[in-house]
Amino acid sequence: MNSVVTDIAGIKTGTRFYDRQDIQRNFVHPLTNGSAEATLLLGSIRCGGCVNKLQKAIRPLPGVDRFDINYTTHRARLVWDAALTPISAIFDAIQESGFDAQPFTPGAREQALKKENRQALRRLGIAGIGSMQVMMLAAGGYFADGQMSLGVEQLLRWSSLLVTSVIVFFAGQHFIANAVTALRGRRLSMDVPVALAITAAYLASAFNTLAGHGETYFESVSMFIFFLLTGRYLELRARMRAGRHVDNLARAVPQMAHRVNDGSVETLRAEELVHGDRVLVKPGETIPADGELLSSMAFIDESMLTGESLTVERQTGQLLYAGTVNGGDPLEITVTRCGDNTRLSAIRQLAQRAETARPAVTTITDRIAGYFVAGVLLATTLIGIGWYLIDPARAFDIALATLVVSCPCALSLATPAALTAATGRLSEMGLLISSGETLEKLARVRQLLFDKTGTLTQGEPKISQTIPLANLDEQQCHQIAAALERSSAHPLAKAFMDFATPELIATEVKSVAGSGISGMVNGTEYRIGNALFVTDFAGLAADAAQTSRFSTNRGTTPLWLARPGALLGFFELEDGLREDAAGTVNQLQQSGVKTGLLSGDDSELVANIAGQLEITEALGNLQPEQKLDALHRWQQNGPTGMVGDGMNDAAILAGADLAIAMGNGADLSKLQADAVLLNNRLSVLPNAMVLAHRCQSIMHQNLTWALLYNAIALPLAATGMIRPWMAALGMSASSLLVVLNALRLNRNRAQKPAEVNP
Amino acid sequence: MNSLYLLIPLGLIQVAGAIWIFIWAINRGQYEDLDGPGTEFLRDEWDANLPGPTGRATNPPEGD
Repeated sequence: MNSVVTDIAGIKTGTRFYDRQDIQRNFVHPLTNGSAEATLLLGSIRCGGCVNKLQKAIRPLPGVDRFDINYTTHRARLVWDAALTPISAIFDAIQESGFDAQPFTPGAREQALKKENRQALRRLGIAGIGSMQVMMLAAGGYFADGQMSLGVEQLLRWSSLLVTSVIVFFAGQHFIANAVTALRGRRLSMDVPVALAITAAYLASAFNTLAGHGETYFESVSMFIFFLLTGRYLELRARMRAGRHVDNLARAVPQMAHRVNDGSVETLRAEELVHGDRVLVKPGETIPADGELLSSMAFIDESMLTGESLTVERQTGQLLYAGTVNGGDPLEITVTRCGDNTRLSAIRQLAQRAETARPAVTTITDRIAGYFVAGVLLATTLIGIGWYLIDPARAFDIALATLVVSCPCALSLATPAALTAATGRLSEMGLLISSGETLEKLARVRQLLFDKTGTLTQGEPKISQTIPLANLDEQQCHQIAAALERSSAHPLAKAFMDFATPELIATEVKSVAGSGISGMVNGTEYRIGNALFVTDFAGLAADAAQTSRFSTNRGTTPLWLARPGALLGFFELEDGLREDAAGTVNQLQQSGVKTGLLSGDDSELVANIAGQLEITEALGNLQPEQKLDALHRWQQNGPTGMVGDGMNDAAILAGADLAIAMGNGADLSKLQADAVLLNNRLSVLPNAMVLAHRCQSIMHQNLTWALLYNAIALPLAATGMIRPWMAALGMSASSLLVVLNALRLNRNRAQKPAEVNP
Repeated sequence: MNSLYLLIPLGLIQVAGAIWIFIWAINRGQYEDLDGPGTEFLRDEWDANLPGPTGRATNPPEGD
């Protein structure tokens, strides 16, 4: 399939192919507002300048809403209205600008990366082995110190020329091709001075070899190419590593599924499944679509989605997700969401969107690097002319050293390498970044607010105590309560679901927000809810005293069941804290992050939870607007982050400086959060903040180093104190240093509660 | 000194050989998965009696 697409992409008229619905299904996702989103994989993107040029060419097209290119992953996110512009027209426009594009599918990316990796390795190998040989020959020349016979000297020079030619034409040609592409697009990329230096030094050396006298620079050229390629290769590896998580997600859905049709089992392609299909999943197989469990019990390995390796138990009626693995007996599901609507697919799209979003700082450094290159070329010319007037013999040497030493490679690599490494590391930790600015925000936020239900607590309340108060037993109380709560979406309702029986059906169910539910069961009206709601209805004002008997302050939610004239039962529901909640809050506070708790639940309950977690500022009984007001008050003291489940606190998340949503919460595809905690593990947060800080400081170090290096090296080279070989070494070592510094982020050091303060 | 006329060309041939071997290894996919083959024998499908590592099945030699 992919090969077909690529083959046809080569022919201009062939882009029509992409307008076909069945082809688009693989890479175009319709959005709710009528437009569509597609991810494209771009070839021949070589620098920040290419990105700007292509964006300028595509964005003005009619119907194009967004076109964001990520330089690091070579992907573009396109949001456009297909009614105004067919996608083939966009492909054509990209080709006319001198780039090639193909639909991004996991296979295409993998193939492209594999090819790139092999090419990079081949260049690196040739340059590495070859430059060793050239250095050896050069060393022979140094030690002979003029004692060599003319014949031997010629032999050394010609051998060096031969090996260097191989290096320049097979490995260095990469830089020259990049520079030519950039110049054709009327841009100055960092490859321009590199290519110029390689060409000039090589041609001068070759000329002098042919002429039989004069200086040669073979060892400088080959070493320069080798070290630069090493830096580029390390950057490529970091990029591959960062994309690995997304690639794995994309691969998680199986190709085939087993559909159950009236007793017979049919094997078909997973894409052909539709809503409502019954699917059989054998032990060890991956679930092909989201669906409700039909079997009585299942053990599921959800590690692909959450990173949690322990299998979880699921009961009939619970949702199983595509991409998770059946860790127990054969099971059956009814498909509820399939294809691009699954949760897995939503996660993948979030991750892709994050990859295509470029933080402002990267764009700025790219633009600076462009001006810098222009400055370098101008300075080299002036210095060359100057020295030609003073001492023509040294002019070429010095101009070459200036050109090489001041090339802003380190500057261009300073931020993207660090950002790529940090984003990859965070997704390994289970925090999925969904916008380019998230890392910066994570490092800036000094105050963090938490929602309670589903965030600090597990969000799955359980009945911890039941006291029958009338002639019904415990089981009957539970069943009536379950009948009433059945249609409720309230989190507390889940606690009763295990007791639901088909015999008891509640009718005329009315729910009163913040109070409870009323309904008719077997001809009797029942109410379940808080004390006031229930006693009021039962006409038991006098019993208010009785209800207070049971009131607890152990961090549980009390509920009463009643019918007219009598209280039937008392339930105590407990929503346990997440295991790592206390540790996380403690770790955050120790590292100087102020924490707070905002909740719509009962104040007493909230105070109790806050007490257990040692959060001093906790507010309960808040309506959504009040939560937002509270957030604004916090924001007056500085940037404030909010952690919530994304379901009933969407507005507050939108208002916060940093919004983090729990992965078990909302529909991920509609989520507007900066980051999603896929594994629901709060303890990731402090580590993520530490990592974000390290990323910021590494970017600063890199930028400082790059600028400082140039500031020192340029005057030294201009005054003739640096030989071309020293320049080649200094410049390539400098960009290697920047990449290696960024790769430190990949190392697993964020375990201990480190100081977050910068 | 005259030995150099033989040794330097010999060195060059050696370099050509080294590059050729390296490129051959890359094209065989030997640098694509540096961690996987080490755990290969733990897989259920692994059979010590089969010729060659089963890892070859996932990294078929390709000449591109």
